[in-house]
Amino acid sequence: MSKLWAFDNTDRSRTFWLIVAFLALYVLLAWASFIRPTKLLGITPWNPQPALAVALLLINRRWLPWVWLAQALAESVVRGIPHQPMISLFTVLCLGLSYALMAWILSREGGGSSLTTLRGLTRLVFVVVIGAALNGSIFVFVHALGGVTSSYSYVGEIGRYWIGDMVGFLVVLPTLMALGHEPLRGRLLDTLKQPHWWLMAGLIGLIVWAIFGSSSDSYFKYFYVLLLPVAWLSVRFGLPGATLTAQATQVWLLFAMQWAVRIDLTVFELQMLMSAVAVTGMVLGVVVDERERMAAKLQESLRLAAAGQTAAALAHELNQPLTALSTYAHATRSLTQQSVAPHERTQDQLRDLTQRMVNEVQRAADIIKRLRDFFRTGSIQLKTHDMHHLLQQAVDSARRRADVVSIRIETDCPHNTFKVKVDSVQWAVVMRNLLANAMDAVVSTGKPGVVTIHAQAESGVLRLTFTDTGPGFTSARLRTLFTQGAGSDKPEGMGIGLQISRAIVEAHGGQLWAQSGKQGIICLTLPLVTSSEEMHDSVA
Amino acid sequence: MTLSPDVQEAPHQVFIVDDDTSVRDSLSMLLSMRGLSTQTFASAEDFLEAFQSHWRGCLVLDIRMPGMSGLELQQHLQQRGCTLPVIIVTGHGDVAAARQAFKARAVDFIEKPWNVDQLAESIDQALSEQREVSMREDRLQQLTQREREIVQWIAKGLHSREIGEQLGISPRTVETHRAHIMNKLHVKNAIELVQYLNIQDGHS
Repeated sequence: MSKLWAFDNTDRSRTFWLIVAFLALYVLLAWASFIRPTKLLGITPWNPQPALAVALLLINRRWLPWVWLAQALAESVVRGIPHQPMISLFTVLCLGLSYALMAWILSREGGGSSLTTLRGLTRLVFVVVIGAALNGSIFVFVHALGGVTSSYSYVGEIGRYWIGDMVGFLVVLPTLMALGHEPLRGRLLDTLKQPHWWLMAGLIGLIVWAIFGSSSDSYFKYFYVLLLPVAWLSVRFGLPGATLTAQATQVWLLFAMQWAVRIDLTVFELQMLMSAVAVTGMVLGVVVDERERMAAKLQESLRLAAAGQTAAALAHELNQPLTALSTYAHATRSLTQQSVAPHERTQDQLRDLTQRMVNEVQRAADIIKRLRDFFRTGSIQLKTHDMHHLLQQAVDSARRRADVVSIRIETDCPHNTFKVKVDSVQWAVVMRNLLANAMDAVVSTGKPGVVTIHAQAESGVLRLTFTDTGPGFTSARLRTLFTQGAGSDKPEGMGIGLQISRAIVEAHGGQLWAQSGKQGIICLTLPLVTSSEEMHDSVA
Repeated sequence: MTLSPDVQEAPHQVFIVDDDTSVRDSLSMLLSMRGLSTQTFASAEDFLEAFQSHWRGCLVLDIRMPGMSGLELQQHLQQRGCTLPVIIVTGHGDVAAARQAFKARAVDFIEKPWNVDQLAESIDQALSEQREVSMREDRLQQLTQREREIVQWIAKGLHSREIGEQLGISPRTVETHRAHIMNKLHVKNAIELVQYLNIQDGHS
């Protein structure tokens, strides 16, 4: 029981501090963003605090009273004790309900996870745009009903409130929602650790300074330049980068506007552009995230395909002992049928056959054991090998075919120099695929040719370059080379050989790619084993 | 189980090409127990190196081997005009491979682990066809120059009188030659003779 209480206590104190922090931050933001208010109604071009309220309600909708309290506190701190307390109170109540409605719709859309798909983002933007319009309408109507008059038209006031709220939501809410969504939170914090991001955020400041440093008509003319760094960072860091960059841009923009822009209405118009920049950045970020996710999925399925191929190869190997076993058994049977009274020679033969059958059974059992190990560990047996030997083995098994089609295979890899950790079965698959592809390319020219394998160390990795005297890859071919069905169309099913090889190499921590040119060039890298690792290995 | 010992003393052999030692040895052992003579090769390249055009018999060929595959070897042999019947065996038969094998005139396509009876039947059939072919070849060889000439005319559908006119000999002489030919080739009439020649053409 005491444990339960302790748990409950920490939970409660966490909630308490969360709400205290919320109240403080809400009032602080309301105070800091109370810039350039319109006359009488006091509508500002930048309202970040409603986003904070919606984020809190996303965590728990029952905290609505705290939102009301925050609003009331902010009203009195920022605008002082209202002349018409009833109107203010009613506004606070209605806006709070509107925030709760937005939070309810957003949580139904999946909360933070909606930021991972373009569809989810579109809905978020839709909810924000409609919600901000609703807030603006509530605010202006309540005040109009209360008899507060404005020097501008009511519709214009609603429009300005809408802009201020919308830009506040678009810039702040995605970041807060990302913070509440585990995978995005990690990436958000990672992005903040990147010097690259800070550098670009600083650059945005410079651009803003340049835009607002000169005459007033250049604000609109050159605003689009801001899209470049925002787009860059969104593409580079995905959605977390996009939302953080939108905030950085907004902060710089607010400073610049305070300092340079004289006409208040211009600020609203600029904020409208800011919304567009924020949405553009987020759309780019989500699209990039989605593409990366697809690529990762494809990688995963290729890894599975490689594993499947390995398992299939092992299962296929089982065929051989079974075939031999059944044939030996038949031989035994015909031997026993032939001779009613087995004489000595037949007995010797029978003994020999039985021994052979025992051997085959042992061989089948070994394969099944390997297969079981493979499925249990799901992985490969990494052992340190000398690349010189690995290449020699691969070339030896390809040598005969090469001789028939008059291809010379040359290797350039010093003995006992490059040590790598590979699974020999999978590595053989890679080498067989790559050598077969290279030889096919040479054969397609109809002339004798050369395939060379060059090994070279560069900063901790070993780089193997396969060059063949075939027609080479055009840049158009490079694009389709690693997609399904490319490559040769042999019935043995080597069509996806390159993809499989790439998956295997990547599972070994390396890379595999092709280069365009007049000769066929395929490169792959593998991490080199350092001598200390090797020592450790031999001990283990 | 119809494998019969090679009664004819003709040098008919079963050539086994498989990279797996046990598979190769077991099949070779079984076949030789049944009185067939065998030769084994560990790779397609080994077989090509040793291959002699006068070899008779049949070929049992594995598809997947390091280096040249069984299907590649089959095509290679076909291009070289080799008429040995080929039985393809494979651990993972797919339709594409079977199609390619049969396009290159394989006589059978058998999956590993094989049914020994099925394989033996296939080998037996291939060998008996081979024997038939070489027997016909031998008989054709027994014909004299003049008789071969007359065979060609008969095949074109000419009567004895017309052949006699063409060759400037009497129809009676042609008839005599004709009787010899029928006797040597073991056929009864002109129709069978034409069939005989057609079959032989199909094999060479």
